[in-house]
Amino acid sequence: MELTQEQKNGVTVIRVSVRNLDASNAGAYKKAFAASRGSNLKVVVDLSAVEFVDSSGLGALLSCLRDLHSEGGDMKLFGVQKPVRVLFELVRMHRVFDIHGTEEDAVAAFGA
Amino acid sequence: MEGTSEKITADTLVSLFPFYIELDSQLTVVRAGSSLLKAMPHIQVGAPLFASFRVLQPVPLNDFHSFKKTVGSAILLEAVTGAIKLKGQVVPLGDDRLFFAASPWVTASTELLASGLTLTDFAPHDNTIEYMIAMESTNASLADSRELTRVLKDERKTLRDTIAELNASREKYRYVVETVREVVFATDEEDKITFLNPFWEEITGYKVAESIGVDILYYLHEDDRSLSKELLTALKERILPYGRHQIRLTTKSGECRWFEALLRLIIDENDVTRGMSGTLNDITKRKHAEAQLRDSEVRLRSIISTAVGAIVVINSESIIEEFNPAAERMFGYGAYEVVGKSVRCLMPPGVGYRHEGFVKQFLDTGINRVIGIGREEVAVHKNGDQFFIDLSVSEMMIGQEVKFTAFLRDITHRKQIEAALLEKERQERTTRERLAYLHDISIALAREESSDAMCLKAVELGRDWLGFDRLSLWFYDEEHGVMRGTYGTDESGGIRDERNCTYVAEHVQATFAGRQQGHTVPRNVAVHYDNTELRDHDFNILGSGPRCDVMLWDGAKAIGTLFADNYVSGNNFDQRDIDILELFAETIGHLYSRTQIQERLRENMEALELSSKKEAEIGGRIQQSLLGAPPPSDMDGIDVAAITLPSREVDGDCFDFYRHNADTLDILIADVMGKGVPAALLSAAIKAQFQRALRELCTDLGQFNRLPEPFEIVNAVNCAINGELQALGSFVTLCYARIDSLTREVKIVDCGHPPTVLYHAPMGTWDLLSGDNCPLGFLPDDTYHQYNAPLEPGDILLFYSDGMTELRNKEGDFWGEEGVLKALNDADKSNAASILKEMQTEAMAYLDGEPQSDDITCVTVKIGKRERSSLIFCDKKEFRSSVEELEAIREFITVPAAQVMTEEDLAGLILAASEAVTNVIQHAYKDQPEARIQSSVEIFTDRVRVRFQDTGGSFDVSRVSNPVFDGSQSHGFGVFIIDQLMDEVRRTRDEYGHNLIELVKRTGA
Repeated sequence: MELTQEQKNGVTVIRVSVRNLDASNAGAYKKAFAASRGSNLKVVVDLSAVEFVDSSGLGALLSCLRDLHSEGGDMKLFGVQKPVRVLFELVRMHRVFDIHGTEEDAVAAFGA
Repeated sequence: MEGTSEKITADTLVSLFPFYIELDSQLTVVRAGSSLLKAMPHIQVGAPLFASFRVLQPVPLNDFHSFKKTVGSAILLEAVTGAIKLKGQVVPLGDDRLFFAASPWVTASTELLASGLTLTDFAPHDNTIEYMIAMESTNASLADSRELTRVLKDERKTLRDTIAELNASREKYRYVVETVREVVFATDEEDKITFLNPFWEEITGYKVAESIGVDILYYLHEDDRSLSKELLTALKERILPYGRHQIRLTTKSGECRWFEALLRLIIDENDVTRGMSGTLNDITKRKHAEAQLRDSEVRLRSIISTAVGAIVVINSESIIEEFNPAAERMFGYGAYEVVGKSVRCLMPPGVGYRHEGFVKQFLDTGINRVIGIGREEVAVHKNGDQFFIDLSVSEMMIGQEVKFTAFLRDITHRKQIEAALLEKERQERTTRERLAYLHDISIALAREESSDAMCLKAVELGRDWLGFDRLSLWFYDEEHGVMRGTYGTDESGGIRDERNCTYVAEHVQATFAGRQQGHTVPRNVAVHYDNTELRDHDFNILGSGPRCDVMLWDGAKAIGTLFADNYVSGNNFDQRDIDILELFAETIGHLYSRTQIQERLRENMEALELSSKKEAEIGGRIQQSLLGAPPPSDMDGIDVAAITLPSREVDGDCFDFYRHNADTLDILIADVMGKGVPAALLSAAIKAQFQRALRELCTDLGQFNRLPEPFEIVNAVNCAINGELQALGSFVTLCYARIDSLTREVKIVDCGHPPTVLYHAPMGTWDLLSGDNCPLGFLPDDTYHQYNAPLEPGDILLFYSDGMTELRNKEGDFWGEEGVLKALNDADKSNAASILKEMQTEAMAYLDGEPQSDDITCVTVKIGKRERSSLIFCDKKEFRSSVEELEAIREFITVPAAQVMTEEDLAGLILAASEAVTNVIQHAYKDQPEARIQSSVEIFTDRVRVRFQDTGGSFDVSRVSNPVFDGSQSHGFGVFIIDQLMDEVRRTRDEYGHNLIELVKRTGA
């Protein structure tokens, strides 16, 4: 899986270009995410292209979050589509993940 | 069976139930059916029933009284060997006998084949169709049933031919009397007319009806009445054997016509005169011709006297003195050649002397033979040809010399006409005599009903009326190749019974056998001998004398010989005798074949009546048991009712219902051409073919998750039976309809059936649904099309057979579509049954006691509001057990479900399904991509259901720990997600290791 990333105000913005994040690509996502962020600790993930996330995809996102937390970093999300939000709310992950409406808000949240 | 048992004899039952058992009061087997004995040869008559059978139902049945009490209910027996089961009812025969009217109870075709039975062993009302299907595998029994059909067809054809033949012979007779170009009449003893043929009207202008009962003398010209009366009296006093004289009749228009009347007395068996019969031949034209001829002679004479004709003048010595140009043309001589010669040169040899004698006599005595009188003479042309002349002579005195002037006219042509007229008159007289005889004899013989009585009467009449000394009537016996006698008259005038006499004569055999092989037998009917050997009835030589043999014919077929001789009188047979004999033989041959046909027809009719009666009984049973079907009562929004009103004769009507599910119902209504048991059996076979086609197509198309379309079903049935229908020359009209209460439409394949009525209750309007397909069996190769019509709640569909529209009332008018529609419009339409009931009442009211000629089949359907949720859509697909397939699986569900779900519900369903499948792939199958997951999505009116089935490891949901929501764990959410999002979740594992998870999300619709 290829993830694109760019730097904005010292924050790494990673864009997920796949439509689905499920058991078929959750492992690949974790590897690509780790490679993409390198040693950056401030990461914003753009989920606006993702239409579907299942519990495996969610697990991958959580796993990445846990890694960052263990290194003292953090991860914020934006562009969460409605079907994805359904899942987050169902398993109350909207409380675990810091979710923002726009990229600017998400990047700005690190500056606060 | 109940209530009618006293009227039914044991013998009737025996023929109806080839598997019967008759028991006495000790329950000993007294008799058993032939088919049963064939299936169970070891059954012993005289042995107790329980030695061979045990009672399966009802138990206990152990003695005579307990058996007798079961009248009206079914009993099931099984052979102790297990060879056969019998189902039937008990009919008491008097106080101490029981008749067990049994049919074999067969639940599998193998049982039947093992028993060694064939189709012909069964009664037609036994569950024949089951057996037909079971036995299709054995060609022998199929051939049996075809043979039966063929024999039945042959019998019918023979009967039809016989009837046609009889009609033709009647027609022929009527034709003879009606087309004779003379009046045939009969009177009673007071000379009142009792019979006239149609020619009377043509010739006199009087109607036959107005002339019957009138004195025959009334129609005579008044000048002829007294003479005719004298003649009649002479006839009645038997002074004359028959009367013939020329009379005049006055026609209605007042015209006078000449007739030659031929009269004969009608004498009954007590020798009492009952009247007269006779013929009147119109001779008016001949009379006119005679008169005209006389007139023309007078005219010709005057022409001769004005000297246009040939004139020859001779002197007293008969020497020609004058010879005019016309005479030159007549004789071919120039005047110069004959003048100065004797007139003899114009006369044939030997006539000249007579001529000279006449001349001398006249000159000597004044006796006039020629002069002023005219006579016919023969003259000789120069070339030697003789010709007739009309000769008129006048004498002239020239000076003292007497000269004779001869006026000559060539009358050869007139002579020829006269000769022809004479010949014609002779022929006409012969023809009339023949007709008179034919008329009398044929009328007397035609009254005889049997050929035997006819033959006896024929020889009696031949003796009394025709006056031949001995007559004998023989027919060729095809079966034995001999001539067989009937009756004869002997030399003492007695009647001889020769019915037991036969003879073989090679030439006779050759003659009769020859025509069997298609050789033409020359129709030289009469052979007569002036002096030949005559034998008595024991073939001993009696003496010799004249004999005449006449061949007897049935159309172009020689069938026998009439022998006549004049042993006593020794009179030779003249042409008139032979003519009469030929005519007599023709009459006998014709009537003999006619009476034979009548005899065969009578036998045939009796057999037909018996077989029709039996057929009707059997047909009624077939109709009740095979051709109808109970309408399903558990449909959702489809209310159905059906009825068959049987006529006296069974029809080929049938109907059937196929319930696919609570929303979808197929209706078949069909009508096989023809009537009777063959039509009913064919109809039952059609029904069975539909069941089979439907079953096979459902199996084939099940893998594509759809039902066969009605047109596919009809096409499949057509393929299966078209050949058979073509071979039988039969066809079937039918309507196959599918009613779907969910999609609210009806699909119809109409094959030449009466139109289906679609009645829109709220508006009271209707459509007649009618397709353009031909009946099955019409064309050897045809495909069938269907059409759809939308349905609304409250709509009514009416299917019916043509027996309904073709009901006839007393006036013979059809009930018709109008009658049916009016009855439907007026009916109480609260449900299908109420409509049907009122349609029936109206139909019977229309009939008003008239017999119903056809069966009526009627099916009513009322479309209602749906009460239950129903399946709208269903799709099934198999996926590989791989996460690579997840996206495809989601799409498999999303595409149909998106049509009925909100975005949020759909998202939940897709997520739950995705979780469920992921569990299967990762946990049950543990990532084996070659494993398969069967998936289905079903959309109901109120919910969506998704199912996955696998054969992987078991999964115990109770051992799954609750999920942790603090983000510390990245697993264990799947089960929770599924349970949370779905309204119903069911996980099962069956004994074969199939795991099934079923997810249901309500749509709230």
